[in-house]
Amino acid sequence: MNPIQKNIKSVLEIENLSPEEQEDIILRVGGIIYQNVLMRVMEIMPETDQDEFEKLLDNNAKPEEVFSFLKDKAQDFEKIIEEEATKFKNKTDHIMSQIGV
Amino acid sequence: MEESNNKTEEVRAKEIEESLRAIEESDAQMRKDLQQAMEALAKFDESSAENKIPSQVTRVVPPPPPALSVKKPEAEPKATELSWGEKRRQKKIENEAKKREEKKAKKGGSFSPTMQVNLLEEDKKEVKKKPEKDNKHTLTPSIVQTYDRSGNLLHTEEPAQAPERTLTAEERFLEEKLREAREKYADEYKNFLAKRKKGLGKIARTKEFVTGVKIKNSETPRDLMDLEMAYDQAAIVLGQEMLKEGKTTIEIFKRVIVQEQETLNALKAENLPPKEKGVFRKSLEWYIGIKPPWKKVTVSLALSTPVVLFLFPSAVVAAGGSIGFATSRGVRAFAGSAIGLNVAKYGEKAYDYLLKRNPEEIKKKQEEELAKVFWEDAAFSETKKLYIKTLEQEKRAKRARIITKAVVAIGAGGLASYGAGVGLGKVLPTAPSEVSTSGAKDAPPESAPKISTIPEMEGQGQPTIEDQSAPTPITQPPPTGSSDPGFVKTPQEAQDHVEPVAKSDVPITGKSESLYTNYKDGKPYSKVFADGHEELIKPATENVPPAVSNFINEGVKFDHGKGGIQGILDLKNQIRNAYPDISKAPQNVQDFMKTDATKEAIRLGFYDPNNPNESALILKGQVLKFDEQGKLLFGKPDASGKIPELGDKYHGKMFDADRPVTSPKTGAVEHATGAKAVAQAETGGGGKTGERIASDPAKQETSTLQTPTEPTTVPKTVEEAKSNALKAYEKEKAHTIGETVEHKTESSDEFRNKTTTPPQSSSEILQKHPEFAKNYFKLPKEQLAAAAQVYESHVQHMASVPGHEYEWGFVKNLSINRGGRFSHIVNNYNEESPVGKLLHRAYEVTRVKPNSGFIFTKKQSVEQWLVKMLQKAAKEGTLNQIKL
Repeated sequence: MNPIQKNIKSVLEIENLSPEEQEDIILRVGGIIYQNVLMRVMEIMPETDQDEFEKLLDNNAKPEEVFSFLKDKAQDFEKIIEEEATKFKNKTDHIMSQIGV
Repeated sequence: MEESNNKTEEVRAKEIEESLRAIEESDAQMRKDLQQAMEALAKFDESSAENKIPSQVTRVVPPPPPALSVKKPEAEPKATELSWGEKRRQKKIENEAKKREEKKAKKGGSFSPTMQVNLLEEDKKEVKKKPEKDNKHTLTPSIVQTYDRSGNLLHTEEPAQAPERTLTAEERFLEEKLREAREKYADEYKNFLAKRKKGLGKIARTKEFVTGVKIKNSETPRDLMDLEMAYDQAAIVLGQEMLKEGKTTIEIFKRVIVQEQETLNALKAENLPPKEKGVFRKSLEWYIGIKPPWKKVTVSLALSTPVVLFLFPSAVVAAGGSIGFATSRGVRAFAGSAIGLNVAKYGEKAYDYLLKRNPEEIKKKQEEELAKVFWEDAAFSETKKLYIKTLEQEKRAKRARIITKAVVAIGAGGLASYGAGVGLGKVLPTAPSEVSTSGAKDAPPESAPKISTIPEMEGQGQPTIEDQSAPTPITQPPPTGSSDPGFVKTPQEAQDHVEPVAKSDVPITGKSESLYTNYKDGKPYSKVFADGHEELIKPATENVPPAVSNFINEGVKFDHGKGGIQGILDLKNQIRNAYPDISKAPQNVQDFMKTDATKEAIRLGFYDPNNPNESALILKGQVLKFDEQGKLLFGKPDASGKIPELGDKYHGKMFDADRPVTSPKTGAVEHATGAKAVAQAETGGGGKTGERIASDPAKQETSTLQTPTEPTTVPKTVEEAKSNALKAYEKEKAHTIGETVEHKTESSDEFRNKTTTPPQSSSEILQKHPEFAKNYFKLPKEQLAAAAQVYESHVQHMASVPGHEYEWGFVKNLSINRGGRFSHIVNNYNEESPVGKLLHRAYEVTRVKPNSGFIFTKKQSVEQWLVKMLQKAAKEGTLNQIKL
């Protein structure tokens, strides 16, 4: 079985889950990527921006406002998201295929 | 003076004393660790021997990892006797822990991203009784903890849906190993970040924030990379153990990937400086508390679309076989699968809604749509019904075939014929009478979406769902792999031939009452019925099913660069995948499948080795296909989609593939450049020159009747034939990139791979390979591009070697000078490793040593060294000698 088949096979089982279970996975995966993105942004965010960001969170801003803020402040914010999502995908691919599922 | 000397001696004595004490402490600690490890090992052995889980968990066999439980860890085993150094050390640790706790309380408490942390706005004592319905989406389904603003834990709730895994002794042991690996990695990561941050000035930091610079691989220290690899390895071993224990894929995925990543993130977050940690915590709370729930799903989808596409293959197939980001072209098409549809369609919408600057009215519309789709608890309620139907079908349908087709689709970059609906739509028959395969009668017609190809769509040939109520009649391919060993004629065919993955999953043909047929040695062995019982069936020879009366074949559409032989190869692959058991196809289709592609091309007039204009001039958009009766059709479909019959053979224009074709009219091809080469590789036709017939229509018309102007050199040996083919190929390549290329015999499949790739200009090639930005030997662009091409083909090859797929990715950024790597490659490389083999061979051919990294020379990574060697080979004309 080639690696692609392995991947497809393993993911097919995921696809057979109920919508609720699938949703749970999407939420958890989304949460992880959100954390990873945030971690990267936090590592490099200057303090003044951190304060501003904190205020936004304190005011319970809407998701689109929070994301707009991060996008405004970090020029490559979308790239960071893409990179983190791809990193997670690659890692999943690597580990799951090595496991042999 | 004397006094001063005495003082110095005193200081020295004190230093020595301290050093000795430190050594003593370290020694004592090591002894303690060793003793504990021995005890744990003894317990572990004992428990393994008795085949039961030890009742007491020690440091080495720990309780479940933090994300699984909030129970206090078991008490550390007491050391029998503590030395002075040990006591001091212990006290120090206790004091530090106490200080940390005090600090935490002041700062707002510790947290873990795997926990749901609810901060109370006003009253410390007011604890939420139950989470509101629309706040039930949690980051993970693990732990719900409630803290007040001072960081005091007020309430812990363990949801019922997150039961702890029952761990075997081995799993416990591996969990502990994983924990150790994780902590080591997290610690080292923390140190690395601290060092890096210290090295960055405030301005550089701001610049990084603005430009979003990420840590480059080359910046990552070797030790950290090694620890990360060890950490991954520990996760893999645990996953393998879980697999052995019979855990499902999803259980393994959740534990080894999702939970592990959550735990690691928690550790990383703990290591952030206080200020950043505070903001991070708030941000996490904000994320957890996003309301309404549809917005949380929206955010998750927007962030994770590439991952989710990867997890749900029908969406991947929909994406044209490539997993891109939400905004990438592939996602614009979507599959017939419920989740695939949602991920592909709404992932992009979600992303667009969150991050794009749309006018207000568009945003409002998007919001309404997303809210409608994701409103209910089950976010995908809109497609729940469809999901249930497809699940039913899936049970009966042939997973093996779905996989096979998906693989083909992915391999082919999303050919129209295996596009979106294939995953769950097109594979399913719509009319039971059409083809007698199981599942046909069970498949509700409305569930199979009609697929059509939208040519203008990005990602060629990607299909879209046109009309779910009017499905296209689909033929069910028979279940087995080819029973005819003669099917796989060429290396290419062999490569493309995909065996069904799970033969037991394959449904029986012509027996609607049974669900599956099990196969032994490629022959039907037993059938499985809906109630689960299995019945042996007679030998396959006595059960040859009748030929299908309505053989359906989509056909191959010719496009840029595809010649007649390649078209035949593609058609054969297409039929083989749709009809693994070709014995049910019409006789002439069976004959077609059994004949070598080149011979078939000669028979059909697409290739004439005795003619200087040896290749058929096939126009872009022409189609080669079989009709239901098995007649071969060829030509451009008319307005009604009708394609003319080919007849006995092709009688159209021919041209010389050695020479580029100038399109006589719009729509004419630049094609078939590979046809001759492929044919030569297969039949050994000599590379010859001829006139440029494509520019002379009159000549084209008569070309098939002409006597060759030069006698054809018939090769005497296979090697000679291959060599001729290679010459022709390289001649073509040299023409394209304007270089003289040395040739050497190579395998026909390698050769074919090259010929099927449309030629690229040197600039295009180099643009794709920034690794070649540095031109070590001041090579002309063409030579540099040739080296880059060899590099590319090797990287692809290395990634295709089973068990070594990730090797290159792991090692390419490592320093070649460290850890004796260079000497290892030269003297003692692993012959099974494609990377080791390539580097060794490249060094043998070029003798280029890596930079020493000493004083004025910069250290080289493994990749840089390889690039330099390839450039040297290009300079010396020895590129062909560096082959795997």
